[in-house]
Amino acid sequence: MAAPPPPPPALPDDVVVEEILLRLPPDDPGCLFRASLVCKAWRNAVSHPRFRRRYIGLHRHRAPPVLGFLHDWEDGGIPDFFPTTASPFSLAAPDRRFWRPVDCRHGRALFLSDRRQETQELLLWEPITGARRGIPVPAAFRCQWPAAAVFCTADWCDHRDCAGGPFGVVFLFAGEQDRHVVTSACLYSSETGTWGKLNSRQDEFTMEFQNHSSVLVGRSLLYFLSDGGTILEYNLDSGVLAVLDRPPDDYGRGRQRFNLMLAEDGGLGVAEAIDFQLILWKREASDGTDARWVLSRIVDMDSFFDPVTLAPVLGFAEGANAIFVKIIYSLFMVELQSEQAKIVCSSPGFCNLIPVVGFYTPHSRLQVPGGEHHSPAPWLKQLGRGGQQGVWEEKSLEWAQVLFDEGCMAINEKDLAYTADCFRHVLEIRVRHYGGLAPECANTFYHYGGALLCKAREAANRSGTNLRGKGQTDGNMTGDGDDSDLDLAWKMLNTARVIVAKSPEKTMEKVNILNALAEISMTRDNLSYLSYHVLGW
Amino acid sequence: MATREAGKKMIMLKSPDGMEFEVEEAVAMESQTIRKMIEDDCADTAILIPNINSKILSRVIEYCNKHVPTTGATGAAASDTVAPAALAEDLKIWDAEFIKVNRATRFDLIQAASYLNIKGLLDLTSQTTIDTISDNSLEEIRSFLSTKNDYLPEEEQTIRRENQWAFQ
Repeated sequence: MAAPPPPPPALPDDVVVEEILLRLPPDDPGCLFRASLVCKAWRNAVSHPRFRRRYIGLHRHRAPPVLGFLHDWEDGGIPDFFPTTASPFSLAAPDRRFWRPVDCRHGRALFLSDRRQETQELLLWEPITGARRGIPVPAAFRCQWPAAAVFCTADWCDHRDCAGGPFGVVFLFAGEQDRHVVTSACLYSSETGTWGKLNSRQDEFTMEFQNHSSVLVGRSLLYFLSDGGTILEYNLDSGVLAVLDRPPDDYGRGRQRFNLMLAEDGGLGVAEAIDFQLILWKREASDGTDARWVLSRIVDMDSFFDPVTLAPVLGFAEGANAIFVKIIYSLFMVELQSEQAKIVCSSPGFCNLIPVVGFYTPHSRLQVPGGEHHSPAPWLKQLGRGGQQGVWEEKSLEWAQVLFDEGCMAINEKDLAYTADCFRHVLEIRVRHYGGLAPECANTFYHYGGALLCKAREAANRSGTNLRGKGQTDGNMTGDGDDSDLDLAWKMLNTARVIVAKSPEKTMEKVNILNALAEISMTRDNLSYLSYHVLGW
Repeated sequence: MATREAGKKMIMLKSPDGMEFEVEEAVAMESQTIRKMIEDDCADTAILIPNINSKILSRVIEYCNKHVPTTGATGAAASDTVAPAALAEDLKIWDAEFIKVNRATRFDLIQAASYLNIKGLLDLTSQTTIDTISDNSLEEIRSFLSTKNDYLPEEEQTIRRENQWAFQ
């Protein structure tokens, strides 16, 4: 192994290293982790936010891989996170003796604390960043086996890299009210940090949700499957909770387990394995009539297994279009697109199996609470369980600092759009943390405004106009609408001006901010901006 | 700008060591960086390619020449006689030969492909390197890439202890 040191030439520089490492296969994430151990420069390269952005961009034409799954098997010898990847891989999932996994979607997994505890709570865990956050359960919750679902609530998001952003949680549980059985659901918003109104419906019997996770259809319909086989629909927009009929029992399903999934058209589907066939149903609305179940596809499993019977479908990987089927004593993952199946492990029994889907990149600095930067392997540390909210905020602020440095670097590389993007995120985080007019935010307002100004200036240069005069485009800065950048730059710089005006000693900042404001004013040919806001100060 | 043959626009590419290469515009435009310069009218007579020496630049041009999509009369003739699958197969064999270079040249090619933004060449050169090292141990990768392990012994020990899975 210990080869003699080769001659010194051909030391790849940072660009070359990054280009090489970007080609590591997403479905073998252990490779990227091991690459981070080659040397510190490589570790910094692969754990940099820019690397993650480029990695996901380069692999945008493929579905995100299934990294593994969470489960509630009782066998203590099985890790909490079970990898399904080609080579060994691991994620430090919450200990399932205390936290039962209930859902995973959009880069976040949701756990419910042990039901024997006096007060239960939810735990949000981001598999890629390792960040954790506690969420209280709704006050009205009383039953034993509730269901919960987590999802990203950012409008513009493609959900490939939205950890850290706003999210929602739906909590669904049965209870008793005036001697009637009621099923209730309510919605939590990370932005307000509160649960919304409880939406309830009367049912004939109590539903429990121990064995299945939810499926999200589109942006607003969540589906849950009770242990007794009832399908519930929760509309996130209207709050209406409805019960759906099941697919017809033409195939002798009997009491066999089936599972919810997304159909090929993106609608609700159901998968069940009977004899040696995998039967896929989809829910289809036709000609204004009520939606009904239609047989969508039958996959013959005897082509890759010996003839089998009674095979329960244990899980569906949303986003990766794969299902997990338990056959005899083994667990198989079947990719529905290619109809490829592979054995995952020998399965010790039934469980609620929750696939973790996403692009893994090592994530070092961000999950380290302050003060541990010099510990031997900071990117391996997990956040402690106590004081999660404080740690979360600290993490956000650290993230803001990383983004800020990233923005400063991007400015040197003349990537102004990215610079502005970084500073915008930093500003969002710091304003949320310190408040909009806090002195801590002045510098960020100034930098964001400055980046927008540079961006507008560059766009103007590109289109042959210049910032100081009206060019060929007759006053329109760039011809492609960058006036909005300039407007926003003005607002940001002006806010910075207002903040620093309160502190008498920040003279250089004042001069810099005034300079930038003056440039915008001159550009605009708008002396009233200049005279009122700048000279009048 | 020089022109040659029937309507074929030529572009002069200059390396910093003073060599000049006359190439068809379509070939040069395999590079997104050069394409942008041409489209923005920043390329008058010759384009200086900084940081890429003549040896590497000539290899890059060789790659672009091979990979430029064939169009017009010659392209039609080619596709009449050779099936697209066979063409792709031919390109693959050609690529495999092209990339048989030493390590230093390969890194130079990656750097050049990155600067000139030639996706195919970047994929080929980077992927070949990944294929070479992905099954190797950390020590072998370090040795292959002349990279020094700068983790302290105690750091390395902690990493190994906390991530035994990565060393199986």
